[in-house]
Amino acid sequence: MIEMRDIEKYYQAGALKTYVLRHVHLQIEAGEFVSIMGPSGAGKSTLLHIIGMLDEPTAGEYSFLGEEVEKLREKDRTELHKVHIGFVFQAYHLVDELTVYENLEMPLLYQKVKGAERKGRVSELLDRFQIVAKKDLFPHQLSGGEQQRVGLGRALIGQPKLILADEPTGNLNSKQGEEVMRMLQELNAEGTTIVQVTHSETNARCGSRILHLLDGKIEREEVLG
Amino acid sequence: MLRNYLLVALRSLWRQRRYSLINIAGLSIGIACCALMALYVDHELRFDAFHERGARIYRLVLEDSAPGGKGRGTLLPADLVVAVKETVPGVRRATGFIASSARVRLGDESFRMGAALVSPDFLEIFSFPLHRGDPTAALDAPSKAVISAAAAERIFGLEAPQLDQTAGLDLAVNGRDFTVSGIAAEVPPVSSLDFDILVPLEYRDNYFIDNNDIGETVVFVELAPGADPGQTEAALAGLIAGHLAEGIKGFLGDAYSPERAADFRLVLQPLSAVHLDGDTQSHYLKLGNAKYAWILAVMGLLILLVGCANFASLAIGSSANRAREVGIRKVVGARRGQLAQQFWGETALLCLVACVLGLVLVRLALPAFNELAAQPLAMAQLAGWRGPVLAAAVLALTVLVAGSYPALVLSRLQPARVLKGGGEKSARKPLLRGLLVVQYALAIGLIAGTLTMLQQVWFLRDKGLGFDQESVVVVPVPGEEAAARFRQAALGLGSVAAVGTSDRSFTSGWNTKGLERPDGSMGEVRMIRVDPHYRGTLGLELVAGRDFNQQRLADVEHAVLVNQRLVEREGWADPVGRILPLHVWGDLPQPTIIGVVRDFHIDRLHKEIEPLFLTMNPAYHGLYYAFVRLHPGDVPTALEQLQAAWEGSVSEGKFSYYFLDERLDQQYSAEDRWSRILAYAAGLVVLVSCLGLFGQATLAVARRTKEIGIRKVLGASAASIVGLFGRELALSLAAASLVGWAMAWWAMERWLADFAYRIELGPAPFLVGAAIALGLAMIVVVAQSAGTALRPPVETLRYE
Repeated sequence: MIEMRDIEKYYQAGALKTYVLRHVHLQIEAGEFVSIMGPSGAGKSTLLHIIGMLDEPTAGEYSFLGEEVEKLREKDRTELHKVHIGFVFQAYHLVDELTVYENLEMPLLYQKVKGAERKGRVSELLDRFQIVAKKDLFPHQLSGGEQQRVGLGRALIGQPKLILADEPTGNLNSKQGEEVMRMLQELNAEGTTIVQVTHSETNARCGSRILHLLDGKIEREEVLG
Repeated sequence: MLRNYLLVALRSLWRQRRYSLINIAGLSIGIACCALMALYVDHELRFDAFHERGARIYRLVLEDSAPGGKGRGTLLPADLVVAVKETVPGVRRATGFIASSARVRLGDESFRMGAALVSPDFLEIFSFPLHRGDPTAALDAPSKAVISAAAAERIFGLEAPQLDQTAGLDLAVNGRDFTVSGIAAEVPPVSSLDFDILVPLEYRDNYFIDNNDIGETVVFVELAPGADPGQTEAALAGLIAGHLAEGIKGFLGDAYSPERAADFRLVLQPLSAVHLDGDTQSHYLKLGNAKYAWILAVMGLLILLVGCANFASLAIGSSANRAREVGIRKVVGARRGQLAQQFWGETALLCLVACVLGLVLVRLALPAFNELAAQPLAMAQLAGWRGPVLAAAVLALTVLVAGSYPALVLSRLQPARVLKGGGEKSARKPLLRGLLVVQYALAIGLIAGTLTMLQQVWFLRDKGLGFDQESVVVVPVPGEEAAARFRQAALGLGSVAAVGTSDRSFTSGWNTKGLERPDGSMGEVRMIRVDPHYRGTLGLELVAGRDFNQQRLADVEHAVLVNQRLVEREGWADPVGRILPLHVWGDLPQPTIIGVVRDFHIDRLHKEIEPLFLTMNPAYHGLYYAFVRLHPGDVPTALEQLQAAWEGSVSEGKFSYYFLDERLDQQYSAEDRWSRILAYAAGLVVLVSCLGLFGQATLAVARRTKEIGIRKVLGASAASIVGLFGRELALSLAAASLVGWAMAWWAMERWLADFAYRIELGPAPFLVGAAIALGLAMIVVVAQSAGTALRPPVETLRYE
């Protein structure tokens, strides 16, 4: 599904290059659950953003579902990520001015999904994440765990093949965190590919493979039984 | 999708209601000003558009095509009317037009009315429909006259339903008898040609005023359908030799030569261009002022621009709030274009609210504005397609100017960056500061401009005119004998100090005579017909020689007083006793100068004082105005006594009067009016700018709450923190002052150039303008930052 060859990301300040990612080779097959770990500043988030096409590598090749990403026009790239990828953030990143229902609905609007189907899919997700009662509330009226459930729901609603999660439990207490991880595992079991960035060894062990990143390089890889 | 946008828009407007309010207030004031401006311009543009044959109607203009020549003249000899109609191919009809004030009499009653002297074709060329009468024959005989419906009501007491029934109405105009042959419908307010009564052009001898134009009448022609104006214009050249050569010669005076005369051409000016033609003098026509229309248009747009600048700078200041939303939307699949659309839409929504509010404001402000600008504007002008088109145009402009920043810049944000929490950095600061400078430059410039205009108006009011205009009542009188009788009666009153009579008041134009110099060249000199008491009554100062003596009969025909300017221009070392080399007709003798009076103003202070002489000779002109100087005291009683004296001494006409000083002040009503309009505009710009600054300061303080906390922890005093904000603002305002001063200086120099007597631009209005703007801005910023600066740092640091 994802194939990266010699991906580099650096910022040039005068003659000095500051590397964020160096010589990254990466292959992720459909159905995997990959965790990326590493200390702060190792380049985890940047790697996740490049996978999600929110950021561009300075050099290297990246193909997603067989498409060479750097050759795509901005518009097609948006199209690709909006149909196939869902994002989950540490800070949830819900739109403050929209209710739970409207936040969930938003991706479908950009995908031009028809009204009736939209309604069905949002209701289904509200059910699944047990937030039906909260559907008319605004984000600031929810607990962190509830907000992250909405965040997860929003990532899922477009029925993506790949979920990218950037420390999804970072702002949650341990009980809420476990719940979110359980949901990710469920999704993975249903066939969705998941790539998460995490600091937590426990959370990382929920997946099938761990990439350890240090100073922009994949230092080692750990395949879990 | 639309619903989603709308919800976000409404909710974010509500969440930031303080800024929304500032934005809506600023924009609606701007939109209201633009709408007023549009009404004004629309009104000006509607002028003369109601004539059915308007597209084929032209005014004849004599143009001096030499570089630096005498420009263009519109007063032409009356015999040209018939000549142009009969000899120039393509011309179907032609008419003269002389507007004048006439005394209309019916039995014992007398009315002062606006009379227009026109040719028989007049009612066929122009669309002034008649209630009664045949437009083709209504003016075809010397004794026929057409009156307006309003005049019919005033003179004959005719009401609307009677206008087409009455026959055989007779009246006298300036002493001649006329039969009313038609009653014209009301002259529309948007007509440059205005009249109460139309009489044939043949009576022009009664009105003839020599002056430095080539003729006495404006000439309009109607071309035949399909005629080519270019060809017709070329054929007009044939008229110059026969009808205009003498006039051009006199007009050029000393500068005359056959080659020079060949520079003059007759051209056709379309009727639609007449009303706003600022190049020609307004002879007889109600002309608009394109310059003031421009000023108003620019001012409306400026106020709107300041409102837009508020919108943009508040959008920049609060963009951090929206940046996250942009990031999220992009992550879930929004394209840049979609986001830009969303932001345009939000701006449009806000502007729509502002637009509606703006129109309500216009409705409320219109009566006051009409009074201020002396205009008959109405909301009804916006009916039909004009209103919606105008509203759409203003809306589109506002949305474009105000909404561009959020739409184009916010939608460009990179989600990976904004979602990490870094936000966009300081790149927007110069832009914010630039907007602030622009706003305050406008405010300071307008205040300085307003104050300068007021200074000039005060200067005009207070400038000594060379005579004493206080406590002088001017009473129009019907003629020589009546003037004498009224004078005697008035002198018997205890309240009256002196009475003098003259052929004209100060505001009613002048008579010009020719001087024949020994070298054969001609000069011009203005003339006032007076009685021997005129100089004393008005307090004109005698600087040489003696005054008229009523005991000396010879003074009537043989003596004149001249002003200093005439002596200077002619270079006479010893004027008293010299013959005034007047170009005279018949057996009139050339008079002798018996005295010199100090220069006094008979014209608006836009013009230099011109050479002038005073004569008592009734052969030149009659006496039509009495100047009554009252003793200080009970003015209403004095006026009642004057009226009684009038009724006891003058049998014809009604008593009317005005105060000389008030009438002289009215000459500057346009300047006065426009300085007040400018004052309002300046006030609005300052208000809207301060609103914006208030929002800006709130945002800046919020952004720097943490910084304020840290500074306080490190030992900064509240005053030094307030100073921190104040200093930044002061720098911006210093820049704004320089820009504003430059704009005001440029504009005011141009405005003042119209006055022969003017103030010099001084620093005071400029400093005061800057001080007002700076003061208000400082109050706003200090009030905002002091609140945070005074809070304990624990609270401000917890803000993060």
